[in-house]
Amino acid sequence: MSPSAETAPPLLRATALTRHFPVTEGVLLKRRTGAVRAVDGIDLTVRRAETLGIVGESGCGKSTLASLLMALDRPTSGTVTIDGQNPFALSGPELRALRRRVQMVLQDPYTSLDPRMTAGQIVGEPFAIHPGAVPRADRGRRVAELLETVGLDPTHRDRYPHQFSGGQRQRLGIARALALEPRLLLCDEPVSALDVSVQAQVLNLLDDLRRELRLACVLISHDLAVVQHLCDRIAVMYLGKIVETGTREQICATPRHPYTRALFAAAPVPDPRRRAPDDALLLEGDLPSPAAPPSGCRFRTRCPYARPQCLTEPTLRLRDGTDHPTACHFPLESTG
Amino acid sequence: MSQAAPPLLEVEDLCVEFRTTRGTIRAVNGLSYSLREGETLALLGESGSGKSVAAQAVMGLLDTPPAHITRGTARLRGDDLLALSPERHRAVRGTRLSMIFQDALTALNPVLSVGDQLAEMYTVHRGLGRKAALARAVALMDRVRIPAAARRAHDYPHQFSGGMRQRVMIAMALALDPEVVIADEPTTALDVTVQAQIMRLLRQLQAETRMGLLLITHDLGVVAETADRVTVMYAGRTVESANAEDLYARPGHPYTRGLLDSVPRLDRLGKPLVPITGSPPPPSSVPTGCAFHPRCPRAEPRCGTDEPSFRTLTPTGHRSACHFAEEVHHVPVG
Repeated sequence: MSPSAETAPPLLRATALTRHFPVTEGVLLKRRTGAVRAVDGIDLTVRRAETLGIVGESGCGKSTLASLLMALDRPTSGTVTIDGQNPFALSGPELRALRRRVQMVLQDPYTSLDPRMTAGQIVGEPFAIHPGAVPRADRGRRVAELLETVGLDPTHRDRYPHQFSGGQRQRLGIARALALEPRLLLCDEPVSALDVSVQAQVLNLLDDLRRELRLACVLISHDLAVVQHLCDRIAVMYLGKIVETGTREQICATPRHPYTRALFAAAPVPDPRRRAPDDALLLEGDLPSPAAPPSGCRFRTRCPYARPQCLTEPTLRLRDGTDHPTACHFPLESTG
Repeated sequence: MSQAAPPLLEVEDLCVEFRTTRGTIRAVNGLSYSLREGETLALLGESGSGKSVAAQAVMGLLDTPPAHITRGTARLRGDDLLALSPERHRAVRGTRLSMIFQDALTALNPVLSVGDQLAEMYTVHRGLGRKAALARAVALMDRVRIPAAARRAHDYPHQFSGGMRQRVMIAMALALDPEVVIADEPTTALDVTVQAQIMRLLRQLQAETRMGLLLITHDLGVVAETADRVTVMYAGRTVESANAEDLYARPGHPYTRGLLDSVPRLDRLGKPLVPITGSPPPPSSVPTGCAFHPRCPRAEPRCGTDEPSFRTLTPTGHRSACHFAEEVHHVPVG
């Protein structure tokens, strides 16, 4: 990363972000009986041309976080700033202008493309919403360019989504996201719906694009190997909170939170000679309900190292920093 | 694994077609494998490779029409399952041969308590009374490490977490001590920490029962962690088979090699991915010759016309269906 990028204000910043979904009982007289704390106090920053990976298991709140970061959903408390602006304080046209700078690639290339639109219409649709982006006369050329950028044949622009393979459809989704030349691309599980042999194509494409276009990326995934491969920094989420964050090297070489280490231990390595022994420590149980998170440290119910203090004392809020912060009361020292 | 043990399940030259009004689709085209007692064989393939259809054919779960088994045998200790009448096949299913499905929530009955569903196995197949059957069901839940089994037996499937539900599925599959268990993507719907628990449980249960386990999956990591031997399928055909260590260290087919080069790995930080170009073909338009040739970096003109034979490369039984198998096999993965 260049020094100027270090000092420039972050492209995306979340501060003490929470999103609680009310749980109600009764039909006519709805009573609020609790809340699902999907996102519960998250701080993070994404700098220009940087890729941040958010890794966590299902139910940890990573997709709720994605919609908050994209200003598709209002936080219960806390703030999001995109390029220094608070999206929720903006008027309609101002918000629309801001949205040009942040775009999203979705998980499922089968449901995220309109089956009745051609490839060219799908990729060109953002120009209908942002007519100022590209003059009408140039749009055809720009669509062809975009298709080429993502490795699709521009002569296939009149084809419909069902005439493309899964990998090609995901490329269409990426071309659409790039149409307005965003500065940040948020990818929510961009390859998990694809065949193994096709995933690498899309991962390499994203890698090339972020370098060539100097794009900032937020990559949300359950797959540690995917996140490790693509990201400069990694944040590990558990039950609505970030439990550890650091550079890729810090997280991968010296994970300090027991949950991060458990994720690494559980991820199977495709090499039978490196098979984990059958007495290796495994996490017990499942993710607790985010409607009734455990007291103290949220990970303590599954943590092999939990002590009495973990039961009573809430963990510190993780401020985003470069010093590899972890929310554990007793962070692990070296890899064992 | 003892090489001398006689095969428990031996599938030979299995072909399955789907005949529809829009034409005939050959989903499985000459699949062969053998599974020994206490052994785990992985059937590795991507979507459309025919791995699940092949398993359903052996289980007798395919509907005819549209599915037709046009060739092949599947011998369970010598008895050809494919020659059985549907009634006889049903009698084998569950007792000698059982299956674990990917999605436990749809595979279990939502309106019966888990204990009752498991107990039913014993009342129907073993003629036990209700009380004795329920006791066996609780013991079984204990065996698959479901905590507080006696209490949880009264719960319904939706009250269990994904991981616990998959344990119930495994209990159901093991209830009648089958000789062979087929697990079709048993952990694909689960989180990685829960996946690790389930795969360990399957290994432990296998060591206890000496069952043969046929693991159907697309996941190279799960295969590496669990399988003794691997059969790789592509477009309905077997392209390679070997013991797991040989397959990962020195694959003998460009497709297998391509898969290994294209997955991001935690143990290889920063190593570039080398993708396979293109996509797997739909079963309705499988290329001629070697089905992999349009995507193969090694392909020559004859690959488009001549179907390669499936031949043996090493004395340990490493086999590959590639015209250049010896050459591909010669280079270790690195």
